[in-house]
Amino acid sequence: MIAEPFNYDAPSTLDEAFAMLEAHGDEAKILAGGHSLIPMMKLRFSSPTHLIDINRIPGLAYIKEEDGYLKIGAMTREVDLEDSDLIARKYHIFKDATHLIADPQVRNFGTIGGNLAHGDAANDHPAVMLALGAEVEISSKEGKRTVPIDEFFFGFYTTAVQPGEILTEIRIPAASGKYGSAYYKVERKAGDYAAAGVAAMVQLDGNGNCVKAGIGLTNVNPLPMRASRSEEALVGNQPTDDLIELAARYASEDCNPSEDLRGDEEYKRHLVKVITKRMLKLAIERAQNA
Amino acid sequence: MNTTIQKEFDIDQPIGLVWKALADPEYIVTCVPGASLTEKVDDRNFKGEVVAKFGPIKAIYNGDIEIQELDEANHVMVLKGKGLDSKGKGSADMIMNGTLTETDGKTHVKFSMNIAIVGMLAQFGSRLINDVSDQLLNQFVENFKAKLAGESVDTDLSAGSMLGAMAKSIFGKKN
Amino acid sequence: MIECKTSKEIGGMGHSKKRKEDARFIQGKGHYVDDVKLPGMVYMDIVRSPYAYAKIKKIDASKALAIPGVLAVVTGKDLEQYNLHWMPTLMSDTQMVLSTDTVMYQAQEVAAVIATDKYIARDGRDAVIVEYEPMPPVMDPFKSLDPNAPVLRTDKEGKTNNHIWHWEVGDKEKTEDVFSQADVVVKQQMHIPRIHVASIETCGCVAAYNKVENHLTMYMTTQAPHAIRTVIALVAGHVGLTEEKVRVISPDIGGGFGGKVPVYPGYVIAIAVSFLTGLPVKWIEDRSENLQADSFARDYHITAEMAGTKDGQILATRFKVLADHGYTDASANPSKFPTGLFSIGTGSYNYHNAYMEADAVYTNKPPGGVAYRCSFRVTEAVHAIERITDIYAREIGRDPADLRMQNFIKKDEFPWASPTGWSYDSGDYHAGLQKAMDAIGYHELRKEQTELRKQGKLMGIGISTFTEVVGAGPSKDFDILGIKMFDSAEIRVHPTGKAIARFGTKSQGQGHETTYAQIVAEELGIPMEHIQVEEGDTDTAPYGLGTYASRSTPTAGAAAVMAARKLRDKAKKIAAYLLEVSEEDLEWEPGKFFVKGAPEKAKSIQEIVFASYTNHPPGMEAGFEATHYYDPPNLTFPSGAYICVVDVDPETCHIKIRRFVAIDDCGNIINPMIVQGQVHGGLTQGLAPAMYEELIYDEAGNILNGTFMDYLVPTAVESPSWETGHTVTPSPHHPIGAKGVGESPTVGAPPAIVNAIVDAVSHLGIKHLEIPVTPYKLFKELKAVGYFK
Repeated sequence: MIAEPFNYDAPSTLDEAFAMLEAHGDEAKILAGGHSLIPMMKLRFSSPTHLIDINRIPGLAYIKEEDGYLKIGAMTREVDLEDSDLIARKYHIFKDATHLIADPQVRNFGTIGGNLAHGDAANDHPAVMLALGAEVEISSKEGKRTVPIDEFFFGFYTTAVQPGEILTEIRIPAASGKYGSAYYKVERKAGDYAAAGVAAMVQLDGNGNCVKAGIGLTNVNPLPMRASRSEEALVGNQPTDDLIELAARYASEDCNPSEDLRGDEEYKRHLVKVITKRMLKLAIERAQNA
Repeated sequence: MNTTIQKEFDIDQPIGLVWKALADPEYIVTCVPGASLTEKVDDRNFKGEVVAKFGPIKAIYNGDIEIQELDEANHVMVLKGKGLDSKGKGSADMIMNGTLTETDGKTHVKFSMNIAIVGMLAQFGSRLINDVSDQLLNQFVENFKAKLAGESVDTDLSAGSMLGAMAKSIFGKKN
Repeated sequence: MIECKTSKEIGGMGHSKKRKEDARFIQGKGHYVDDVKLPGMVYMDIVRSPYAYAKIKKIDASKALAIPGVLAVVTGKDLEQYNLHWMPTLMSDTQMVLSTDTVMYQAQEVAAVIATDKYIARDGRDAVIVEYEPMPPVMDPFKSLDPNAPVLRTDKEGKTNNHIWHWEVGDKEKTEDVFSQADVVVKQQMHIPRIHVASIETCGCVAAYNKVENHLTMYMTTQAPHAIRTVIALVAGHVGLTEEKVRVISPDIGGGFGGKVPVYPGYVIAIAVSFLTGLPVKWIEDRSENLQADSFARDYHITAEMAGTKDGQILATRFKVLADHGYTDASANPSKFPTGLFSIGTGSYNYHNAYMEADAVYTNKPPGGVAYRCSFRVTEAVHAIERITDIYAREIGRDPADLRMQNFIKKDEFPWASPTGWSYDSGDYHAGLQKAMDAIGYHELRKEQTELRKQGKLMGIGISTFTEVVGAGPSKDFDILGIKMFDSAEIRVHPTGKAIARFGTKSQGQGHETTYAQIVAEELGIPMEHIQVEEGDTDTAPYGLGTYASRSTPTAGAAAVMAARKLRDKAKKIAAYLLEVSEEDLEWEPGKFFVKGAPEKAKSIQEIVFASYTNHPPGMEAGFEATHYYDPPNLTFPSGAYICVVDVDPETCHIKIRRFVAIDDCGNIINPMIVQGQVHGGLTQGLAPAMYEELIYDEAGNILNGTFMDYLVPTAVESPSWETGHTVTPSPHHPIGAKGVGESPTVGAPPAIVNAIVDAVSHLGIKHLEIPVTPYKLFKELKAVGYFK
């Protein structure tokens, strides 16, 4: 398991990184935590001629609430999400998700930005971001632009991040009021991709009606998928058991899982239904207690 | 490992035109993401190359295409393709059956592809093969429709960067 | 509690001494084969076939050779010139080193690239262009026997089918009689899937041939260095590598589990290249090569039948096996045992009629199979008997614990003559199961299960009460390539009373440096800290057949005892001389001889040893050294009673092991802490095939899970908190009553887990589940019986 020859650069500022990206075009890849890219390189599936390691650029790792957003720097390690007080208090979904991402060694180095920018529907953060209605900040030497998460994923390993650009920040509308979120995935063992995973977020009003709902699905669709019909069914209504059951059914009907070693289509749809139901209930319970 | 993909779509063009296009490898290849013909052996046999690119992943397949059946009267065709990974890590065999029918001046295209993959891609890529094949095929259909409608298709684009191109057009960036 | 005869300072048997070897392992100072670096060393990488079955049409190495640093590309045709393109397997079959014309499995060795570093070697590997003509592979062992199946081994003259061998044991007719008259007969088809030992260290070697000396030093990840040296001499003697010209060194090994017993093609290629060039050649597999090409384990398709009475008396069993060996039988069994010790499959029960038969076939899969932490096919046998016993209990509506208690061989029935020819040495099965049931609260759990079922919850309790057979073995039956399966120990005590002990075995993590030292300490009274244990160098260690199949303690451990006792006899003579008394007047206590009735008149072992170099009795040989080659009179028969409790999520089918109690009986215990560690590791390796591991191939011959991404080795996250305990029934024939423990948990755990899972869903109509029982598989089964709509 040895990668093909490549050049390695470790810029210390974003501007240096942009210049390097421009010089090498789409033969360059950005190295964040590396836990997706490096295995691909070692298997020689991927052979970028230049690796631009952005781990030494300061200021890209933070978790803060600001301007009505939860802002997370792209180079924030999974372990920091796992350990953050702010996250533990208000954004339970990250605690759920990071705990299920691979193993502690991977979480010590893997980054949230890398997890998203890799553009793999099997990763966990894409579904979480869909559920939370995130935006992604993408920077280049021309400046910064913001992309809603629903317009971020394009195809296999392909995202809105273009050659010359770097994903720098993730913004999530800040939690307020009766807000709850939850994530779970069924995996064959720790470190596996999900057979199916569901991220759920709800906001309740004073009467317990659902005013906002977000549901993202992991690895049951070619692209990270939002369960729109399920969300629409919930919003404006009391989230009764029957309604949750209906929302779960919609999610299982609307996804497009492929058969692999983790299971066939039927099993994965079944899992989507069960997990959606459970995560909605958990998110609602958390919202009620918020 | 084996995967079968079936696709049906309608084209707002007469069957004669669609048939002529589909039956011409040199025309078709320009609609296949990342593909090019390198040699015409005879009327029924061709050699070509497919560069598949998905984000950081790039694979080059050298292939032979054989037209096994070309029944113009019934508008039925059978293509056989054989691709070899350029690093000797495996191969892909494909049999494609295509049928055209016409209603009201529109053409209904129906085809099924059986893909058998041997080697490294089958070992490591099993979770992706269905979805990736489907994605490639959808792009092919889009390109084919566009080309028949007289729009230009960027034949150099590989699958990944084609999506990138879509992204660029959406966000209005130049590069 | 274990009683210790020696003080804590001496640290003999029964003391939970910390492992001596761990100081270097936990500091990263172990010395593994990949740490071997020699001047001028070159690196080898291997081109492997992407096809499971194909003709090689052409190998074009020109692009590889054009890469700066690539020195050579070796093909089968090159080896053929020296008649090294084929090699024998341990089972007297033949295996290709590098193919000259046909490849028989995906990832088979096709060519080797030699380069100045391992990175260039890998680049070179990818630049070798091989043209193949693929053929449809034979992947299903049942279809392999079809008369129309292609004959795979066309290299074998006159071969007209894919059948390798037939084996049988027991009284077929009598067993049939019992079956035909029995009130109850149960039958179950089961597959013990193909798995891999997946040791953390992959295989590798450094072959260093010195042309001037005509001498080969082979650093190699092998569990059996002496046997390997003999094999090398037998295979390469014709080119001048006779046995005295070969030194095999097995450095620290990061897990063997049976996978480091065979000779793999890479070793032979490395030797050939070093022999031809005079350069040291390093070859280290990567993870996928290890998983995809090295010997598998298991892969037995078993039809198990049990006959019994309506009130639960087992009368007879009948097992029929189809063994998938891949393209060559590269098992590592004793020569006379093509199915290993599968005939232990009559288990812990006292019935008298059994018949077993097996047929082996070739398929287009990697060759094997090795005894993965298992004394040669015991895992397969135990799975069959423990599953079919549960199925029988369920058929007649009996509690599985109760039924086992009824059928156990009783404590006073040992030695027990099993219907398949074994003589079980000792055991107390009732005590073991009772202890396990008490520990887990068996009857309360059954009550809880009834309650949970009313609430729609799925909980199950599974039992496995197995009998193992280890310590191969007595020379009348056991040999590998004709070499009897004794093992050896040599003890040298230096003048100051410190010792070095050398063995024919080879630790791969078992803790030999500690346990052997404790055995010698027990017998000689020299503190175990002062006994250096050395293994793995054929130039220094006495001859032995290595470490696998839990044989080290039963054979080399016994040899250490016998060698130490020879020294103690000598010590007694010296003590008598020094104390000027007759030998009869002396008494031994660990560490010294003293005069009966006058304990102050004593000579310590250290004083005695010193005297053996400085003041030895006239007429006696000086020095303090002894060697023993131990030929065990019988095998040893460890046993265990395991109980597993699982909770199954009724919606996702996720299986959680709530508790797992393992009561082992491995006879007398040398180091309780090491035994516990062995049991923890072994249980986890038993959990693996029960719920996670299986090598999966598709019809085209692709391995679908050739990396740790998809080959699911359980980790600490998946493992429950194992609860261990023991009963002690010493082996009557082993000099210290020990039996061996390394593999018991791996053998015993899978049926306990599966019996528990089946028990959790049996009321829904499930009778059997094939391993590995994954949530996905369980979902499909529950769907099939209508539980999921």
